[in-house]
Amino acid sequence: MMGLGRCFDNFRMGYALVHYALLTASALYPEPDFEVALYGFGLYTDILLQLIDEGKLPRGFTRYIHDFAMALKEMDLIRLATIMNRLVHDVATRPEIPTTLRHAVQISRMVHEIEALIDVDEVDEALNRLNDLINYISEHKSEILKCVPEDVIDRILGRLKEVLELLGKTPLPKDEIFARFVEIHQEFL
Amino acid sequence: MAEVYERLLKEALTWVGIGLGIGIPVFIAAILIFLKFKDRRRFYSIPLFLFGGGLMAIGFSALKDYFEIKARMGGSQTHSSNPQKLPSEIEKKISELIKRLEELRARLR
Repeated sequence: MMGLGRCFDNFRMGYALVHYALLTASALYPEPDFEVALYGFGLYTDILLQLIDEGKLPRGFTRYIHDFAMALKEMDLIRLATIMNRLVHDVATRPEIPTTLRHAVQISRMVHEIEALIDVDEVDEALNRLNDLINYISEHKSEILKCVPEDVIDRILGRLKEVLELLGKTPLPKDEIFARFVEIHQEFL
Repeated sequence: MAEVYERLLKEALTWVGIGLGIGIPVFIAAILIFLKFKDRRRFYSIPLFLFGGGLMAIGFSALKDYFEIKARMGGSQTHSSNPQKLPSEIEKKISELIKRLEELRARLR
């Protein structure tokens, strides 16, 4: 049986995969920052290749490196987002992919989506996504707890609670909210 | 992100303009040629149908993108960036979610 440490490493890789893909995409707009974009892309590629080498992801997933590189070259944000969604969907729906990775990718996607919605002031929609995230963690808590230490989950839920409290303030303290998200990301990176 | 949406919106509108602005007249011209001529000149409408149809497809696809982006932007406009007071339903939602989060944390401990 896989130890919690190794399993948590896999979870972190899944989380980081989505994180760095989004970092790459966000570095392109509004002003392209190629240094950040290439840094994000390099880490995204490393993680994807490692997961493929370890047999956690099918060989066919190398196409997500090629497609991502092409979209990056053309600075096509919509295509990058489409590739990301396809990758997340593929990881979520293929039964041969370990459950740990599926949960990691889904949680990462939801956390980043909430952050992006708050960034564009869509508080109501962000709350709906937060609701989805809480539902997701509740539904899969036993499987998630097999891989993610309890104290990590507790800290993340604590940070999310702080985010919720900050969302109730006017004007919206975005800097403080994003600082909480940075802390959440750091738990996995 | 708002700037990103605005830029994407402008790009989508440009393609709607090009696609539909040129595509529809070309397509109509193709139909007219097809109906007007009964001899071999009728075949001249084929490339026009293809060209006009292609441009219209680009235009409609851009129009779809435009409405999708607009819908996302619209969501952000319904909630002003710096409201003086939060709508009560949002406040209610926040307190419900905090309660649920606390329950979840208690269950996980």
